[in-house]
Amino acid sequence: MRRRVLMIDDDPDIREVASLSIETMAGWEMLQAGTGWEGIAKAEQESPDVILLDMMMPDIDGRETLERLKANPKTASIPVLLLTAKTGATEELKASGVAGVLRKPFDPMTLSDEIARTVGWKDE
Amino acid sequence: MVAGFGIALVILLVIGVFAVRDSARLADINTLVNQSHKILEDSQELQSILIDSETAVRGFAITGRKEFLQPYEAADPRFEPAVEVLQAEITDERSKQILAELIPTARARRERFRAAIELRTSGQMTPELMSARIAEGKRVMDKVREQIGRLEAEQRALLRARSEEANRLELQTRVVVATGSMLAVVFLSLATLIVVRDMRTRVAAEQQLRETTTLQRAILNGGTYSIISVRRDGVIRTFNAAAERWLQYSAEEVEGKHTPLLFHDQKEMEARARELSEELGREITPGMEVFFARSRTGSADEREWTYVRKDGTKFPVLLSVTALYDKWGEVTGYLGIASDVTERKKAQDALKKAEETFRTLLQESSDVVVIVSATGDIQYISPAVKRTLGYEPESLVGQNVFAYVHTADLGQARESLENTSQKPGYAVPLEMRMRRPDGTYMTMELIANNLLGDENIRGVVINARDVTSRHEVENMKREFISMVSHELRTPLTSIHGALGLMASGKLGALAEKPQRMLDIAVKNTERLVRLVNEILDIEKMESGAMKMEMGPVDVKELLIQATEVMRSMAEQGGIRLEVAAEPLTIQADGDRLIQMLTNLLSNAIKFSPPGGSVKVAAEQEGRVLRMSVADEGRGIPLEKLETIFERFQQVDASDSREKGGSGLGLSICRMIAQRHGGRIWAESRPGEGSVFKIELPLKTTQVSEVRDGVARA
Repeated sequence: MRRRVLMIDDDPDIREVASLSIETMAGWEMLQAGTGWEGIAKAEQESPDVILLDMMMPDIDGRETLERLKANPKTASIPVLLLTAKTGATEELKASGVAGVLRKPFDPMTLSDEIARTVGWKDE
Repeated sequence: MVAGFGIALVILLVIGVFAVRDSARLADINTLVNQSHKILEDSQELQSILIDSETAVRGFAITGRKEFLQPYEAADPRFEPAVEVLQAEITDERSKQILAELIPTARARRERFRAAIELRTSGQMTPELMSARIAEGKRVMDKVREQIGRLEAEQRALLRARSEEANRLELQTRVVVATGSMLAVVFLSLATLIVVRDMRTRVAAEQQLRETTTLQRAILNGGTYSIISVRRDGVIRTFNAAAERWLQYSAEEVEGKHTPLLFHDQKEMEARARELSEELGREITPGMEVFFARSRTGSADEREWTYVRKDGTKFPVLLSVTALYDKWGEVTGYLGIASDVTERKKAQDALKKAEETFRTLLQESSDVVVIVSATGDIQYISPAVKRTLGYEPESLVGQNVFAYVHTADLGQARESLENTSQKPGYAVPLEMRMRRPDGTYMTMELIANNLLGDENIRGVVINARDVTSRHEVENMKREFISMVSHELRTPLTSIHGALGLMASGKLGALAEKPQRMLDIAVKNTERLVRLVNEILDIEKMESGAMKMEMGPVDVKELLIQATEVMRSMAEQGGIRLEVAAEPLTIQADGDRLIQMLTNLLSNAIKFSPPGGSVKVAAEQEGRVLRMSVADEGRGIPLEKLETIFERFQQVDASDSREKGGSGLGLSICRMIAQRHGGRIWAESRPGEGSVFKIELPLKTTQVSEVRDGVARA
């Protein structure tokens, strides 16, 4: 079955590059959201297999989006990977209930491998 | 009072003595008077004997009859006894003398009687003889009479004198008694008065004493002082309530049984004994004498002691020992009044500790603390000045602080102190170069605080901090940023060029997806190049490395050039650009003003809705050039109007991604405006658009150049 990844990031360029990388390298389907609110709504509707969440966003930021996702029974079980350009504070971020942390800039050649390894998908 | 009674008594005694003496004298006088009367009587007797004898003898002589002689015979035997009586009675000298004359005369008369009788009896008496004898007898008799008369006169005179004396004595006695009695009455009254008054005073005194006792008891049992009195030998006589409470001994336990050594620290007392021995120059043995020695000299001995409670715990007291004297000046005992100084000592210790802390802080602080007068005379300078500038603090006190300021910073320093001295509070921090003893300079940041009105300081307190290292760090940071940015530019140039070339399709057409990816790459590379350039601009302006190339600039031309640069961008967004400018010339760096205007125009175009217009205008207003860039965009919320000029601050965090801004553009604009001595600010009505306004002085003043100089320093 084709895996589906939801990417919540306010930079359309980054979304497009990540999308092309995942579809080309792993053959997964990429869903996109430009804001936290949009991401929450899409997660509820589409039930993706994993969510890539940017930390620095206007409106509600990654942290609040994460809290809302975890508080919602429909989305609480979906593993969330954080995307951040800032270094440090990895442990703190992990403690907040995320499956893992991915650093920006990411390598488009290995992004899907990174996601699979962090979430623990063995079948790839 | 006693004297009054004494005097009265003495007076009465004197009166008594006088009275007794006078009455004795009166009795004497009385005896003498009686004697005189007797003498008078007895002298009359003698006379009458002689007269009787004469009469009888004469009768016999004439008649010759014996019976005529009878009176003579009766009288004559009385003669000699009468003479003897007179001799015995008369004591005074003059009367004795008269008597001595009288007796022979009287005896002679008596002899003549005998002779006459013999003559008659023998018959020899002739009438002639008789007549002659009578005449002779009369002569003798007259003499007797005359002598007796003198004697009587003498005695009468004596009587008169004595009665006068008696009168005088009586009067004198009366006067003495009367005067004495009066005086006695006066003194008795006075004494009585004094007694009464004395009684009243005593009653009042007793009343007062009773009150005093009440007061004393209140004082004694008041809680704030331990009051202990001891006998001369040191044994406790009284022990008040506070002493009981503090020391945990009851009065019954100690009164008459113990000395205060019971609750004194033995070691402390011994130490004091040694101290006292030295002070007084004689051996003071440890014991109660330690407490008495000084107080006996008349002054109260007050010092701190440690009291030891019954349970062994200790507390400090301030004990004052006073000697007690009786009315003869003999020491009867001692009074020890002690106050608990635990709290005071705590406070003192805390104060001492605080003082030490502050002293240490001042000494160890890397900041130099200086107190100067309004004219800059150094009143105090902290020891840190030795470590920083290298001066001995003492050598600077009294000197003027401006003598150590770099000549180029002097004007600013004087101005700042003058301004600071005007009103209490902190002045704006200043950086200036301070001279070291070796003539080199250290850059210090000075923060002045006007405490001229503070009673303890009465000066301007300046905190001076060595900022050399901070400057070094800042310079290193700037250099690093500058270097990194430059190093980034080189690879960026290649990447940007290579990607741009590929994306242009000149090297061969690409499929849709690779073309998309390349476009994204080119766009973001351009963004990165812009960011690096802006960081470099800011760094250059901050470090002063960017020189303003001042020259005459035609303002209208300036606006047209800037809009030309932005023309293509505006057309892409369907935005209309409008220029309205007066012909004006300004002294400025034209390139920088174009950079500022294109930056503002770029923003205006980005945030304008399609079909909107952006207006650029310039006009003269007095001595100021005013320029503005207005758009019809979404506007800027009031709270962001100022923060957008700070670095990496944008109206919306997503703007940098969507509109490609770095967040540094407006910071650079503000720096350029300031470097021209002008200012820039934004006005906006959300939803209707924003206006960015710039004011530049038409002629660049000296002030801005001085400020530039300081910023570089």
